[in-house]
Amino acid sequence: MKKNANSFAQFHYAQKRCVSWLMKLCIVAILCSPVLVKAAQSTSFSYLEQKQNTVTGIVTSADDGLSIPGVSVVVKGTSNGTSTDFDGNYTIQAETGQTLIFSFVGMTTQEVVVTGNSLNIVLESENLGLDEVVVVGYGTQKKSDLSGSVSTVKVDDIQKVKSPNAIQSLQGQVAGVNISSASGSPDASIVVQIRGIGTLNNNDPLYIIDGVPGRMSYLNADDIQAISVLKDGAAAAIYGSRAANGVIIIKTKRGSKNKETEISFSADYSLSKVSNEWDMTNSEEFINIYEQIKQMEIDADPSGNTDFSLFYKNYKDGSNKYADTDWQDEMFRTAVSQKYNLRVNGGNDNANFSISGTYQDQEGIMIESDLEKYGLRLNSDYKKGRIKIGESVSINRKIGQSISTTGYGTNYDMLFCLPLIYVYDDSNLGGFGGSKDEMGNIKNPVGSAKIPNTEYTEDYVTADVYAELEIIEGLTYKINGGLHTTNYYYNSFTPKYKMSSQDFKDKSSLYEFQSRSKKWILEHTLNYNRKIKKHNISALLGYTSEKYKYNKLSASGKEFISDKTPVLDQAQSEFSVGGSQYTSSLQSYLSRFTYNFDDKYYMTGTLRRDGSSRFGSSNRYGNFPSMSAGWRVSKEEFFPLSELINDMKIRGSWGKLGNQEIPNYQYQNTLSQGYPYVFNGSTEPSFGVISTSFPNKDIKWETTISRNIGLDFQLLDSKIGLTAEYFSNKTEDMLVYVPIPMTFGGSSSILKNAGGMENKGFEFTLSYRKSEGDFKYTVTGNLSTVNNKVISLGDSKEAIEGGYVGYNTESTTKTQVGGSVADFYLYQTDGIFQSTAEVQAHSKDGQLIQSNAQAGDIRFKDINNDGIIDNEDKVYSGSSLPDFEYGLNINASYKNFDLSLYFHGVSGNKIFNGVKFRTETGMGYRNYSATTLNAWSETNKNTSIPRLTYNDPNQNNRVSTRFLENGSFLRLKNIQVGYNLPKEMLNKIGITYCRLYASANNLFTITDYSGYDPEIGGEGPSSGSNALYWRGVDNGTYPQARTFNLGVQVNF
Amino acid sequence: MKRATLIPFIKLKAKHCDIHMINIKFKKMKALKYIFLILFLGSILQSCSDDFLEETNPNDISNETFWQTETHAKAGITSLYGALSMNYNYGVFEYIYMPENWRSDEFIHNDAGYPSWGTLSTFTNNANVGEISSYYSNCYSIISKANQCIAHIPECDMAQATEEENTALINDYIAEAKFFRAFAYFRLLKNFRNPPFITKETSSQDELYPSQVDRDEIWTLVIEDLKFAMNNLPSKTNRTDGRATSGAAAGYLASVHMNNQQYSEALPVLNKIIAGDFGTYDLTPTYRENFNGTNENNIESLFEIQYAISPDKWKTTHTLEATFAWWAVGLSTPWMVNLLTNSFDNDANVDQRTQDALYTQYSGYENWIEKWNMDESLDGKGTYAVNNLVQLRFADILLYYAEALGENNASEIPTAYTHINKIRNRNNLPALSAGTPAQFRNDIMNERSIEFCFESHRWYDLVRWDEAGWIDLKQTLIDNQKPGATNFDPAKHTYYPIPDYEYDSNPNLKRDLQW
Repeated sequence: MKKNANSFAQFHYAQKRCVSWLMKLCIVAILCSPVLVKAAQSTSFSYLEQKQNTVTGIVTSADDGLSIPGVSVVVKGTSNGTSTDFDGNYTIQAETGQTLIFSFVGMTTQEVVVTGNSLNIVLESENLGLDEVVVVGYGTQKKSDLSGSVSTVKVDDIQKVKSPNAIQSLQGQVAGVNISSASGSPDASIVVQIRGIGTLNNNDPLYIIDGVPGRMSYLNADDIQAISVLKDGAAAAIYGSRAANGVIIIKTKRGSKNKETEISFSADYSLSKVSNEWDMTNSEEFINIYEQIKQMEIDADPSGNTDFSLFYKNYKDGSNKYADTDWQDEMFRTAVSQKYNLRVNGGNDNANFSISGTYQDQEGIMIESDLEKYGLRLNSDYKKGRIKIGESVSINRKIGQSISTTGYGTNYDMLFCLPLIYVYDDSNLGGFGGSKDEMGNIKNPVGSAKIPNTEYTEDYVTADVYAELEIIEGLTYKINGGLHTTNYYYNSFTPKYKMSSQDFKDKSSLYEFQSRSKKWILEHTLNYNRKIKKHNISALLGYTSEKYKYNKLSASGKEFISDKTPVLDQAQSEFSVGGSQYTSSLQSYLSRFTYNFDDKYYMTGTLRRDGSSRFGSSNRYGNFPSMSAGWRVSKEEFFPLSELINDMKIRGSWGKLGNQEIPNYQYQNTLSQGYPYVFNGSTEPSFGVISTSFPNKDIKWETTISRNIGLDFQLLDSKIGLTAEYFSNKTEDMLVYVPIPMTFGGSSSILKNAGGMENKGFEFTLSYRKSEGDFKYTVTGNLSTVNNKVISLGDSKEAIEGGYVGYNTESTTKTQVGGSVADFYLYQTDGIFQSTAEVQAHSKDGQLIQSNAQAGDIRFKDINNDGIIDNEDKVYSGSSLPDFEYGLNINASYKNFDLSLYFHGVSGNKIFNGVKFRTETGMGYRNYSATTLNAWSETNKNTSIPRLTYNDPNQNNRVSTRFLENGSFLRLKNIQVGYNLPKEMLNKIGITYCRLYASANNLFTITDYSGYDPEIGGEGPSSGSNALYWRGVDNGTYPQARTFNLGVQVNF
Repeated sequence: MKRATLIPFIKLKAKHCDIHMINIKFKKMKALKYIFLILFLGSILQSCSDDFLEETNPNDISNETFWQTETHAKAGITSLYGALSMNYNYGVFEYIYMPENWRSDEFIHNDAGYPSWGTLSTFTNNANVGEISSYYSNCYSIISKANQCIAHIPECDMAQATEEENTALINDYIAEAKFFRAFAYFRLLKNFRNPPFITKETSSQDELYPSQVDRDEIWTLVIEDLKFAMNNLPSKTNRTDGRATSGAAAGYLASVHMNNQQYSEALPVLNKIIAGDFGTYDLTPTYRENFNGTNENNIESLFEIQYAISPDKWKTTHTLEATFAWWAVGLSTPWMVNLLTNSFDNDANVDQRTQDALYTQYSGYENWIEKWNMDESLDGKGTYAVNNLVQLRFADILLYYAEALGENNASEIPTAYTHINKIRNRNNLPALSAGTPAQFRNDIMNERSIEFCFESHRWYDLVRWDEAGWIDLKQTLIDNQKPGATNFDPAKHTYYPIPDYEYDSNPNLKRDLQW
């Protein structure tokens, strides 16, 4: 224990040093940047002619007519600026003919030419409707001009959910985007599926951060300015071979132009807890069940050798004290988390900057699962004449520790561990309690979590630089270069310990792992925009290349002289090292042409040609074209309902997308080591080397043909917005393993582009906004459906089985042609036999169907009517894919108060409760679900739990519909109440904005599911297994937390 | 170097520069400078090569980086031995020994835990018994590796002084690969009626789906390969590490001819072996030392599979001793027990070969098989058995020789008996005197069944004697009270079925209508 305390102290020391280092960097950056901006400002100063007069006026709000204090007023092209006072008044020196810029958060910026000495301004609330500009691939577009399927997210909404991974906050916000966290652990991977499961291979979308592919998990949500989700072929095909799973484009905040330097600070403090625990038996209840089961075994053994176990006897006679441990109480905790964010931004007409630093310390609700994140981001742009140069630089660090939660990890042990076992035991080496010999090998989860000293650190540094030249008006050339580096370091030291005679280590061990990846990217693009009368034309041409290098190194050793020296130099034995590397590259040509006539008829075509090192020379390049068209019907003169519908657009698209996310070098032949053979006269084995696999030289891209039809409406003066879409995506050439004859003499299958998958569905987004006096609110809802179907698995007629819920159990899911991915295939339960007569009645042609059954056992349906219950009787029982998924956002404000609610729900999906499957069985020494206490007996017939047995002769515990539950849920994902401190008060102390808020995540969930949480991310049982086949199988996943936050946001 | 990737851009650029020049003329020349500056910086950043997308796997060896030196040739050949030994867990017993022996009238399957093994023994198996699949796939695993060696070894630089020596060494390795290819096809021909035929390295997807050919076409290849091996491999005098030798190749060549009743072709080969053309071969002083690991690769041995204790012991050992002496997975049939225990030597003791094959010393356990037990003095006794499994020994050559002599020309029958008696003499058995051709056949059959009991020979002897018209296979099985003999349908069970998986995955195969 002392050792732990020590390392804890060391850890915190390291952490403090890191914070101070970061803070220093922050300070230096903040100090330097204004200097840069100043420099830029001074140049513009020099040629300003100073012939000033004084302009005064008042700024009011169009919504309520009240004056607005703190509005920034700047003379365009100068650093000359001021802001309005408490009463909305301003005074500024400006020349007639110069332009004044009025800007304020949440209001549309206005530019007004000075004509006299007085200028009163009315600012409008920012309208996010038609004129909203959205980021698309390699550029931006007006939302009203889109003819493909692009969804945008209100950034405020996602920033309210303080998830460690910003993408998780998108959950339920965008129609057609399914997001689930693989577990509730702070650093859990987030599974994002756009418009369904498009392939049995990699389904991750492509993330484009500030124009280049990047890693989403590092992004600080507070740095995000805009997010677009490119869902269909027309929008995404510009990213060609990586776009088949959709593209998520993120733009980070850049400094505002013509604005005084602004400092924003936010702090958030939260407490999290598990929202629901499994009801497991305590020691007394466990002994009670054990007694009944063991008694049956004793009664059945004619030899009389079966006897109660020692722990039972000791428990009963009180001679040996046993614990009554609630392992969930020991493993779960109230997690304290905090997040701080500091951002400085500002700029003039020629230069702008934004620097932000963030620190986040996130505790997991299970012990030994923490995550710390540090981030620093610098974005700036400089302009001189026709040239613009800028950069986006980010430095990120993640430090984490995580208990094993994949598959049958520590979270699994927690549920199985007997309550009789003590958490701590000073007589054991290491100080943790363990099972007695007669209990079998049961792991103490607290010891398993706390004994190894495990930590990882990952640094991710990105530097992207661009230069832009406006060659002639409307024609811009841009070069963009980026370098991204990831360094990952993991180490795990396990000292000698003993928890039980089966769970011990008599040698201390250390495992270290390092990996490093480097990526560079270079892009040249030419952009042309021209408006000739009613013809709007824009064109894009580009060339990009990318190279990615990865290498890893691992080393381990055992038997350390002292636990205080956990470095490999001090290891005495069993050294081992390993390493490998790979390189991949991409080279692409891209083009886009858009045309619109009179904002009425729209047309876009894109073509990308991608070359990838992952494919053999015959199929190295792929072409990915797309087309789309839109028609703004409401602009036609004949449009009848213009009173009601102020805007209406119909659009359709077709596109071809690729997926190149397969392992490297698949098309290359590799040789492998054969079985050893010891030649005569030798004592050492010799190993042969030969090729045993058949590389498919013709391997190529998985391609998805995407079709989309959409309708956009704006009703009642844009108070109501509605978007409805139908899509149909068909994946062809899906990579599947196809069996080959044994005559090949090596591997039994080859990877071939032989499969197919189809996803079809509808998406609806509806928004409504209203303001009545001081009361304003908006409601946005979305609903989406996806119908997934496996078209082909290549030549194989076999179903892919998965979803195993333990060792030596049958599969719960099957993926086969005609069905969808991971459909549940289970035995069908048909109640409990209430009497021997009922067992007798369950027969076929006079033969008992379940001859081993007794009263109290489960009746299974003989689906194929062959008189026996076997594998053939497992039939389709439901899908883990929901019928529909929906989200609802409500934002309201009254005077200085604001309230937001954000709901997320899925409906129609099933979950196989693997924990119940494992804990409602009467076999083995492990803890029981408390429901087992309600087992069937002659005196307790009204129950769904079968009788207790010691050997389950009827196999009640088959993978049956008994464990299949409705996975639908509706969850209040986030609720937040905020209060804006009055400006009058704040201005006195130099603060422009201050908001306090309280919020809660996952406050309540309406569901029938009996496990921890219906949101199970679908983690495979081990890192190598394809988690898709485990979708909807709950193996005791680390649950999502319920979190309460308090926070403050200040600008000055 | 940088051309390849920049050209498209320069072309693109150039076009727009023209427009640019025309439209904005001199005063924007400054801007142009910037373009070129940017371009220049861009090209520095872009450190790419001609084949920007060409990435080779640094983690694994490929055919492109392999097959360069003699070490590589040897590693390729070694993979054949690895495949031959099938030495992982129960591999060699389950996937080689059992499919080769379980049908014969020597064995009774005795493990209810493995019912599918029992079906092999009682001729009630279906087409999808895993052991048949494994036997089949192991044969093709050897063939595939051999084909790769034959294709690539000529690419290796053997670093010899002269071109002739280089070629000789290459031929030596190729001969070894061809020996293995013939060995595997011989196994396939003996066990499958119509096996698919592949003689080349698989280099395109089409070649993954071979067809069946006339059996004679395969026999021709087997004979060619063995002749090449016989002429190019070193003799056992020069090769003592247990690898294939010219003698082994000659022995299998003779064996192939005997299998096909080609006595006149077999005779000269057998003659040469006995004459010592491929090194000195003779019978060992005792029978037992051929099996118990005390005298491995001895003077009698033509070819054997090597086993040894190694760090990964379960990968270099076999389980034959445990299988028979501990678990009695298979027992001797009463007929075989009877035959063995009624053979007596000159001193009226039970034939030493019987004592070495069965637990005759323990009453009630006479039908337990002891032949593959290791000598008590050897380490690693038990599950991890290290005694080599002899495949072909000189006793076989002698009895083949006797059989070929007598069958080729009845007047040679008396000479033939001298060779039979050499075998008998080792174990102090009374010499047989020359009999009629019918008696001769009986004596050959009797001698072989005792001498080679439980050595994977009996079933194939029965099949070839049936084909030669000596016996009726089914009647023999019935006469010898082989359990399940009545299920035996000669048209169906003389050969194993090709597994269904093969038909499902290879559209070019024609199904055996019997299955």
